[in-house]
Amino acid sequence: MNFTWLLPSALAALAAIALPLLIHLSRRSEHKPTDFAALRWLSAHRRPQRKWLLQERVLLAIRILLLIALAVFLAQAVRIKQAKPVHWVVVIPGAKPAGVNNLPGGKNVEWHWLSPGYPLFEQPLPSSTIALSSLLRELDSQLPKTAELTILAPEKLAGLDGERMRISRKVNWLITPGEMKLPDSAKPVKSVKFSIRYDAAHAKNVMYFQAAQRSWQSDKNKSIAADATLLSDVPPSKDTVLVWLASGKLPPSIVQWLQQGGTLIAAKELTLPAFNEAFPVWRDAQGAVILRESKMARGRILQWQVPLNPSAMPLLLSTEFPDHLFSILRPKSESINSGFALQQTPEKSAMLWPERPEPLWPWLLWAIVFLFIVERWFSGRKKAWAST
Amino acid sequence: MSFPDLIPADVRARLKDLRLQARRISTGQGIGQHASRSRGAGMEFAQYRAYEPGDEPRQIDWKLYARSDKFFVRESERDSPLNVWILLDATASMAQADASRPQWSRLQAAKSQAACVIELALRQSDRFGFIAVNDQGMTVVNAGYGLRHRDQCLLALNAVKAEGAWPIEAQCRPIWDRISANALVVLLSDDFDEGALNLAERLSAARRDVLSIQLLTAEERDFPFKGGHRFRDAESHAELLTDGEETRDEFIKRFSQARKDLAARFAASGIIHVEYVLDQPIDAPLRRLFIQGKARFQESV
Repeated sequence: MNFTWLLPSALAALAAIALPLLIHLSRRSEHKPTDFAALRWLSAHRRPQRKWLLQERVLLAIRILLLIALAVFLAQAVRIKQAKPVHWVVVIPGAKPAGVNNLPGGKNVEWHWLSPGYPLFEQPLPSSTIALSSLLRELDSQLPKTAELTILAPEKLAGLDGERMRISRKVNWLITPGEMKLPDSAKPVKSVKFSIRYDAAHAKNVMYFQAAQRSWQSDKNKSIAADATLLSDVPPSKDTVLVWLASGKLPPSIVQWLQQGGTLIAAKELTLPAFNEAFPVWRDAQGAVILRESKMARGRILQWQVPLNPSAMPLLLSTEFPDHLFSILRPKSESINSGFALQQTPEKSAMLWPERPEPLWPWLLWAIVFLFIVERWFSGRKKAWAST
Repeated sequence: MSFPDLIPADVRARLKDLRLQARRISTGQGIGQHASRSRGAGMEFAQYRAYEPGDEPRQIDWKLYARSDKFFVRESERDSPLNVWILLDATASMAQADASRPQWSRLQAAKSQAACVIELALRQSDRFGFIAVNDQGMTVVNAGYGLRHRDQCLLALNAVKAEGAWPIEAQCRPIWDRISANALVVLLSDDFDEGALNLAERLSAARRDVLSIQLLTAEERDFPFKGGHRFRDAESHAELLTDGEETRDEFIKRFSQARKDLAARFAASGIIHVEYVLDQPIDAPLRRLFIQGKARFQESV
């Protein structure tokens, strides 16, 4: 087991040991008065030598230990473990270990999921994730140098980086039939649903959004129109985009809905508080800003910068309008890179990860607390000494 | 008795073997166990003398009258009691004790030994008395007999405190007044006062049988002091600042030389001198002084 310091300069705190030494060091100059009748035969020439004397050595030792523990704590002592030889078998979600030959066996073998936290294989997979390359690199950096690694990969992989996977150790890459399941968030979004609220002055504008929504839907669902009603304080459901075609201000219930992560498309006439961060997301051919985006807490506010009529905004009538609007509204999904396990065998990289040291500060903290209590108790007991 | 017994039980048991014995002929009056100069009826023949009017007719040796036709009176030695005096040094230096046993001072040991001597004297129906000597006023208990006198002595003994210094010559009058010639004098002292030594020598020179027990503390013998000490003499109030380890060898050398000198000086004066250190059993010096028969003379040589 090796110890090392993350902050060796803090060992200068060891100089503080001089303090208790100074406190405990006393020049013994006092002389005990002693009755002695045979004084006549005592030689008077020798003066008593003054001696340096350490008093209360046990207490001094406790205090020095306390200071050493503090200094080691400040210097952030860490222990580099000499790990036992282990063999990790990591199963990428989707892989089926049944029927795979060449599986390693023995006492040292540990089975884990390739998932954040690397749960044991016996446990159910907590949630499917696809950041495959990233997880593999993390695992590589965490495992001790001597550990062997076997990876069970399904035939089809997802969550790959643009670059080929590189790992600092040799990997036993076993391919099983199966496919990585993509999480819901990774699936492409097909359509966006509007909840339209309008006042009388903007009643005409509703049709553009209804048309846009209709254009995104597949043939079967064509009949489902957007939910368009007059203004109300009732917030719409979470998965819809609120289109607010009115002047004036937003009611508080809508603001609250927005702050919890809703998306709002507002007409030009709506009065919104001034935002620091507002940026154009759509410009027309002349470069004038049509749609501006800003944030409100977790919510997203898109406000038209032109009145919504074809004379002011000819784009409304073109097919470009729904397509561009969709590209703006579509929720951002993780980019998915998929590939075949056969081609993705991790390569050995020359990069070596430093050994992960184990921090010692919890132990040191307990030692310091214990020593402090013992020191207080001990020094409290020695009241007679305190007076000298 | 309302005060603690001065003689431990085991010591009391060992006292059986001891016997006070005077080297000089006793001059005490009455019937005792010691050889005396007084003549009278007794077992041991002493002398014949001419008849004087008033002698009892039964004392006349009639067989001798038959041979010589003169009246002779047969006289025998009469055994007499001994006068035992205890001279207890009660100066301030006697209060000194070892640090390891602070209650057991020189004075305490001396009192115990005095009590032992009184017990021995009582058993032999000798007369005993004691004088505690210091310049603050002497405690004197006149010589006497018996249990009541013993208790009186012990009571007075218990009240003795160690204080002051050795008295000057003139203050020692009571000692000379009371201690008659041929008495046995036991001097219990640390023998650090020149006055005490002079008194002992002069008592011995004036036909008193002087025995000296010098009481020393174990610290004076071993000098176990470490580090700086402020040594203080309780009598002269002189102080000396010195280091224990530094002076040990020299002190032990000088002090043992002083003890040898004292022993030689007392021996020259005919005083039997023994030392007692406070960590020894209290009857050790008494055994050396009062052991019976030849052993005693070997001791005194």
